[in-house]
Amino acid sequence: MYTEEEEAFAAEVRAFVRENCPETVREKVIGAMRITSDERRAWHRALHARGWAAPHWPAEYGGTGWSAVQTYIFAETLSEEGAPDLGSFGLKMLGPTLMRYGSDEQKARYLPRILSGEDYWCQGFSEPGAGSDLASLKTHAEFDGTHWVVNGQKMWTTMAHEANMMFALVRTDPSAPKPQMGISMLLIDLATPGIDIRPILLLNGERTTNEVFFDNVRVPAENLVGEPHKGWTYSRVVLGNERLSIARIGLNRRQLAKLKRIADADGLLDAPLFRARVVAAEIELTALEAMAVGMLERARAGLAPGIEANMLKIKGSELQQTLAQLLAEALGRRAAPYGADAIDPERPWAAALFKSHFDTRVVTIYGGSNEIQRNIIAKTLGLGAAR
Amino acid sequence: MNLSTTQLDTARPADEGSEIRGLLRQSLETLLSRIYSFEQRSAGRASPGREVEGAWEAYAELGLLALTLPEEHGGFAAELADIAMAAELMGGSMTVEPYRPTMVAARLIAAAGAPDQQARWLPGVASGTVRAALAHEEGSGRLAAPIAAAAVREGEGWRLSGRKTVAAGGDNADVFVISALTDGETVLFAVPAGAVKRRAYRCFDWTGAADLDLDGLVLPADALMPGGGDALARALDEATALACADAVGAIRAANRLVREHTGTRKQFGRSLDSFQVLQHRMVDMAIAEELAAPIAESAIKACELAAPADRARAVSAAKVKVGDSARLVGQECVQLHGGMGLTQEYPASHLFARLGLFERAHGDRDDHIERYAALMSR
Repeated sequence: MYTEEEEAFAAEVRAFVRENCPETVREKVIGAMRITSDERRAWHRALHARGWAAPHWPAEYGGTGWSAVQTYIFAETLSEEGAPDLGSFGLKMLGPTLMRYGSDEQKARYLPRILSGEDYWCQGFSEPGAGSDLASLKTHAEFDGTHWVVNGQKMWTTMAHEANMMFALVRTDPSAPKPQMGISMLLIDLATPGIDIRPILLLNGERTTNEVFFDNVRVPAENLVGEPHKGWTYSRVVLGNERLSIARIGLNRRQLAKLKRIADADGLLDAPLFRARVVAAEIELTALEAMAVGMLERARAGLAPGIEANMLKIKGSELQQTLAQLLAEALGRRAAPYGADAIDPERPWAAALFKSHFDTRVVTIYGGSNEIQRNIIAKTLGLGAAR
Repeated sequence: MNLSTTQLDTARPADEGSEIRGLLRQSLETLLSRIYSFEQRSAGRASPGREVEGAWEAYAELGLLALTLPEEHGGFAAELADIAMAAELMGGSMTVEPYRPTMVAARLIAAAGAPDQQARWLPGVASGTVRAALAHEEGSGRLAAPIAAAAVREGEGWRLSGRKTVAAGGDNADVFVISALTDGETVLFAVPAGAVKRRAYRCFDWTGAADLDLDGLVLPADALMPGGGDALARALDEATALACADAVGAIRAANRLVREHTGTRKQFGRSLDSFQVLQHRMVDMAIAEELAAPIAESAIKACELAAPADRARAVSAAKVKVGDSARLVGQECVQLHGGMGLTQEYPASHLFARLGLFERAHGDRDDHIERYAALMSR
């Protein structure tokens, strides 16, 4: 799917990953085991030193100035090689938003710190009563002349326990005619008094997400992004910023390779029924790749991605779940044991595989559930517009 | 939050067979609603023993551990369907104690064990002081894979070799029934757990299991059980059918939980269950439940009445269909709960784990399709 030049670039990226990211770390990523924040930071520093921490950023802010296609190849190659994810909140979501809507002071202060990894951001959007219906959020902030005073609760705040900063949506005008019109975006230092971060324990025993409580948290006026009450508009840009990298082709290719390796060791690739499902998954991946090529060609021509990006998110995430299911099947009864006691010295990676099957259930929920993606597509297709 | 009483059960026809079953069902429902709320389960699984305190003793007191075992060893005349009824309720409450593994192994000792072996182990099982487990599966647990564990004669007794993996209930078992090959024939041994090297652990669904290392295990002559491969085949089918009953209970609980959640959770100013796209999915989940329950019951009946080939076909059919329902309902249960569906403090993820591991146990979909295909009439 790549030109010769693009292939050469992919090879360069691959070589960089293999030289600069320890094999032990890549094995953890591929084995679906959690890496430490130190390991993530070390990889961030390596990428930063090479000037590759934020390839999609404009060169003036420390990006690479690459084309959308190069950026895509870079992301997919990293994923295929098992390089740790640096996290999207600062680099992919807030960074581009600040470039467009932030004040000069905000840009000068925060962008370099995002790039270097000095600041690690989390996103304060979802709330107990505001998930798919994000605009119904209730956390609110009142302006007291110098500060915004925040009260309320955020939920599903991924990585809040490792982050030092949060960009949050808060209600600042409760009397606005539409709920979307009374929301602002604030940049909140998590060391501010009045913030309580509590873990949400997932079934896999891991803490990746949190509840965050705000009790009269004072946020300086200069930490408001753009204008008051316009946060909803900015958040739409935030959520739309990841569009080219959501196909997960590289990740799915990596998972397929792992599946074949594990299944082959057990002779399962010769079992007709199982083999047929692996083939079907590979064909699905081939179809997604072909679809991604179309998206790349649009990008090469300088066109913005259309709803095929949403479609790729749906199908890419579903394939991720199919592959996770097949991996669990390949492991058979061996998928059941869990935890340190259960580690089979002959197959130390096995204990993480059903966990990863479970973890993969989240990919059709977060980042706009697949139900919401389908709503967006339906709207774009004009369904029901004739009413 | 209590998952153990089902709305649908009241609409089901009265249990066929023993009247006892109706009474037992009531008693067990009462027990589970008293000691096995989701919160009580959470406290139990997090405790050092990884079980709900007093649950095993309460099962014994109700007579559940005596069901179908010989009366001269403290047992109680009953049908496999009575055990299945208990398994279904336990599936709905996601109990973590090894009820099914113990009953399967105990029934195997009753069917294939020597009188001395029965007298040694069964009274303890029936009274709740002995737990039993079957250690048969190896490696990935493929149904058709031949067993590799071997038994060779040594003096008067036997020397075993090989490994058994993920023996359900093996973490706390007092006695194992272990399968092995000798001269190409399957033989069974009843072995006190203290004699066996085991690695005990919990599974992703919080039930316990163990891997056994049989290398160097030397057994006296009287460890050999008189019954062999046929009894084992029956026991494995029973274990599969009982697991289907457990899964049906979990499917019912998952559907109930989803309806409760989507009925109360509001987004865009409406309850989630008012969105047609979600309604259709919950209808499919309801269909999956209604498909699973009767075929699981048929499998139990076939275990009691049918010839081996018919029994195998009925059990494989149930494993495939209940498995399909389990996968659909388990996955949708998480999806329709959104983020809540992944947290440890809420039952949805636990139901997903229970149903997901049901699919992985007792042979998976492909295994049973192949076995059925081999037995299918043309």
